[in-house]
Amino acid sequence: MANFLIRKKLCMIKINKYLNLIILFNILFNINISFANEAWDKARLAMPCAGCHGLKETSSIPSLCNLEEKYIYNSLLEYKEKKRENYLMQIIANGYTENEIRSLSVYFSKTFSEKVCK
Amino acid sequence: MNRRSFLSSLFYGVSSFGLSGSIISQSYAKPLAKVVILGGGWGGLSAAKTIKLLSPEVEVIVVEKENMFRSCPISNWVIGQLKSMEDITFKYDRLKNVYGIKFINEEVLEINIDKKSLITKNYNINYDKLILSPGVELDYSSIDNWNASFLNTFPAAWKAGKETELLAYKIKNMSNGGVISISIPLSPYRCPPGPYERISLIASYIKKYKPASKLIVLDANQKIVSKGKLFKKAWDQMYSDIIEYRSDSRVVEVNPKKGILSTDFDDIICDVANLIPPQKAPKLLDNAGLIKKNESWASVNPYDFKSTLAQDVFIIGDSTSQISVGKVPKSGYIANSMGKVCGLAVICEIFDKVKLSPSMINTCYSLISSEEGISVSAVYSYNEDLQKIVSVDGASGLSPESSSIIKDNAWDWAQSIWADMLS
Repeated sequence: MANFLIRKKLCMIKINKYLNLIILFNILFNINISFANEAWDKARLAMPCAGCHGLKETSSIPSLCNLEEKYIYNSLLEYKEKKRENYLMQIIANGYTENEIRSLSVYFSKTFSEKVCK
Repeated sequence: MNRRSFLSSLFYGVSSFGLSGSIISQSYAKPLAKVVILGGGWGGLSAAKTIKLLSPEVEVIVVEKENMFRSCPISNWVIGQLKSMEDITFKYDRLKNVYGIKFINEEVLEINIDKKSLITKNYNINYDKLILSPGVELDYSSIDNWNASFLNTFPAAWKAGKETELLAYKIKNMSNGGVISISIPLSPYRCPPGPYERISLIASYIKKYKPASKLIVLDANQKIVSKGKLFKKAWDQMYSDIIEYRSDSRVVEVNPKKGILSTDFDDIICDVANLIPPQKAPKLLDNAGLIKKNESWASVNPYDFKSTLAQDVFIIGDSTSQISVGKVPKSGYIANSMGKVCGLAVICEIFDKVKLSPSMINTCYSLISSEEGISVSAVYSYNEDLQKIVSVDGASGLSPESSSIIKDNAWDWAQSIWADMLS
């Protein structure tokens, strides 16, 4: 009898574990369907920037690590409006709308700085 | 590193560009899908890494015949005696060990679209999604008497490797007063400003070390294909007594014994010859039915780089047709951007999500001497009306002048983009 109860208990634990996994999976998956869309949309714009902007602090092309959102936003907008000097960044910044510049600023100051920069 | 620590190291950001979508797949036990990538160059690696960052449990296999990555960009610096091959050669180790990307270092013999597999000498590799990033095939068919054994005399050095070293060696060992000739194929070819940067760097080297030498340029095009104004200005100012530029000059025959390149008009006798032949998408793609009749490059849908001629096949990089993609250069940076767009599109397809509109950047730096560089840049997006990738209005252009800062930028760009793909 005791043996049977132990087996039943083990079985319930297994079932619970299984159900928990399904619930966990659904939570993770559903959260991330919406979360990922937004993150991926920002990454879609930001990923090509990594061609030039690396993580090295000694590079002649500045790293985008740990910069304030407002600083990135203002800088890109000033490049776009030709109020800030740098022929190349004036060309690149002109390729993005103000909304896209906001997305890039959020991305680099938050997700990128938190997850990628050390 | 066990499985759990491997996944968490990825999630907590090993140079991962913060792509937190990776959390999605941590709850899966077996691979979600198998993505096979042909080509471990700029496009292939960018796609591979993007996929692994978005979803580590998608299985990614790169099939690449070389076991090391040799960078085409910066290889002109080796020919110009500024860098060595070691400086532009890298291992694939981090992609294998940190990201779990598998490599098979064998040549692909056949792409079987019906059976969804790649065939190499020892493997038959099945795929759910296939990404082709094979680069260009050098096409010597327009040279009447061409034979592969002529390569030692007429290296192309258009794929970084032994021929790059050979050409660098020949230039270094040429006597003062020697003649070098470079032939440039009709556009489109890989890296539009590449030949002109090479000419500039060789001229810069011989001006300093072998000033009695000459450099004869045989350009099949009517004029300099890329950054023309800036290259011409530099050549006029610095190398007017060294470079002799001939437009509309297509090499049609060679004589390896005498070192002669023949055009329709002239025979050029030279001590060192660099024959860059016309280019097209590799025959492998044509054999698989991925090239339209009478075309040389692969047609794709530029929104996601999916082949217009086969299911579950994506094609990126230099082998794509500008007719289908739009007017984007065949550059390393563009291949890197295409790899990211395609990687994201493949993941969206696997997760049955709506694909996002492509956004790409190109910046090509070129040196005009051992001290100074120039650049061209553009931002690209997808135009719904034209159904093509186009440069955004007002977001393309050249550097106004050459400068030493741009040379520093060029080297630092290379460091960043190599790290972006390889570490």
